[in-house]
Amino acid sequence: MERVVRFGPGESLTGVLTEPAEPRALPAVLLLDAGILHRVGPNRMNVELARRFAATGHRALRFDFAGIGDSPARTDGLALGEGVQRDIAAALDLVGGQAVVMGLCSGADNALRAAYRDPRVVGAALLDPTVFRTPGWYARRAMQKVTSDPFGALKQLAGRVRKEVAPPEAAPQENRPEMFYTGFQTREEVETHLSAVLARGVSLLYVFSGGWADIFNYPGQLQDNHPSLDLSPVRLHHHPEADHTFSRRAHREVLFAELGSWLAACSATAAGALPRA
Amino acid sequence: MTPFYFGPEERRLFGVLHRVPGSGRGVVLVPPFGQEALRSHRTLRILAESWARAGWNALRFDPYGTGDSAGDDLDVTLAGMASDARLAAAELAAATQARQLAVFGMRLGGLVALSAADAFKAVVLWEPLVDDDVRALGNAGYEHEGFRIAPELRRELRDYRLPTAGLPKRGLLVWNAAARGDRVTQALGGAVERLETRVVPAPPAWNEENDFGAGPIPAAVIDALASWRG
Repeated sequence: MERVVRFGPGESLTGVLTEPAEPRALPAVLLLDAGILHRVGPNRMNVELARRFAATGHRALRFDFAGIGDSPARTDGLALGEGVQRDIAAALDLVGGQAVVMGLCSGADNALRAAYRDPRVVGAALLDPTVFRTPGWYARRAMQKVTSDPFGALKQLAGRVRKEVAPPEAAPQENRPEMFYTGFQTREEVETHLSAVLARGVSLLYVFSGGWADIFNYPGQLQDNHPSLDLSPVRLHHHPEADHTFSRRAHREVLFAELGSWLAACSATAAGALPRA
Repeated sequence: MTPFYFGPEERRLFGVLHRVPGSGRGVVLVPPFGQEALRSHRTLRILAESWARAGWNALRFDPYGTGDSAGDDLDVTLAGMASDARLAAAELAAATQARQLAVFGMRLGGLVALSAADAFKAVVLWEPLVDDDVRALGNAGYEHEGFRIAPELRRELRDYRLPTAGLPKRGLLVWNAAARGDRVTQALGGAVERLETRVVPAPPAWNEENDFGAGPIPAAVIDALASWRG
């Protein structure tokens, strides 16, 4: 059963709440906007996920942040990042009790921030979140170039050598998060959030696609990003065959199965470890 | 702006009503299909708001199997979408004082609008899919840009012919470039008594902009549509 919900200050936020036919005492699921796409999500992914989660007893809310989709732009003057977190808090108020947050791309970073800020969040699924290149990433990228285009790789190497001889005009910025700039900006910022969330016992699922290959290309890269953290509780899947939005049906089916399996485990953990609100 | 569900239990449709109290005019907006619908969502919202400011009650809706409506992509057919557009017209008439109803369609939504046009007094089209595009989509295979295309929809697209009868007397046809629409303009010109054609050079709202998954918002076309007197 799906119904429209208006919530937040002045009921300015618009969402669709999918409720299970047989409600169970399970965390609700918040499906966050990806970039400026509205609440149905890439390839209508959020709609399908909401219905699958409701079929297993979870209430699922997909909604638009202020200024996206059918939620009017905010009038309180808050900056984008803070405004989004207020919108997520309003969504948590609406569903009540424990919740799991899921998001892709900027939605992933917003989900981690929400898990850091709000104790009601007991799990976060992060699809293609901000991550940083490592020596391991560069090594694999170089190997990939050599095997796929040896001549081109040689030419590039020669170019690099020439640049080494002549000083570069500007220092390279290799530790910057690529692709988007509304999410986390530094590895330290991510680590602060991640370590606190792990310490609180929040279940975490990371999924990386082949669409993120320019910044992520091997499963151990997350641990290499944060060598001081114990990431053994984190579940991680790497799908180099999939594009950023899992646009192929077969890739989405695999992703949905992984999300469902993680959500079941996360719900069991939450039921055992944390009091329900 | 009021989002809501309407339609029978077995075919729940999501819509957003932009109400203009006291106005007797209304327009139902039919979106494109698949990825194009996602990319053009912002433009359709702004177009509906612009129409409301111009005095038209406007109802955006997601056909069955798309957007926030019930069903999935394998449920989507041209006939089903046309039936949903008629249902949306009845809903708009029931929820407002609008009696002079127009139907608007973008891309594949344009073909849907034409199929449902017998329920409306005017038809407004923005770059409806032309013959080759229709057949290309019909031959696209099981999946097209992240969405499955039902066998029935493929068949409907492959067999599609522009209607030449049963259309409203008034119409507006907007193209982003003149050449693409000549054949359609000619075909509809004979069927719609007062067909106005405008060419408004603009980027397509249904194409991705800057890898964001969302399209540009062509203000010039929105202005041209919202200022149409009907």
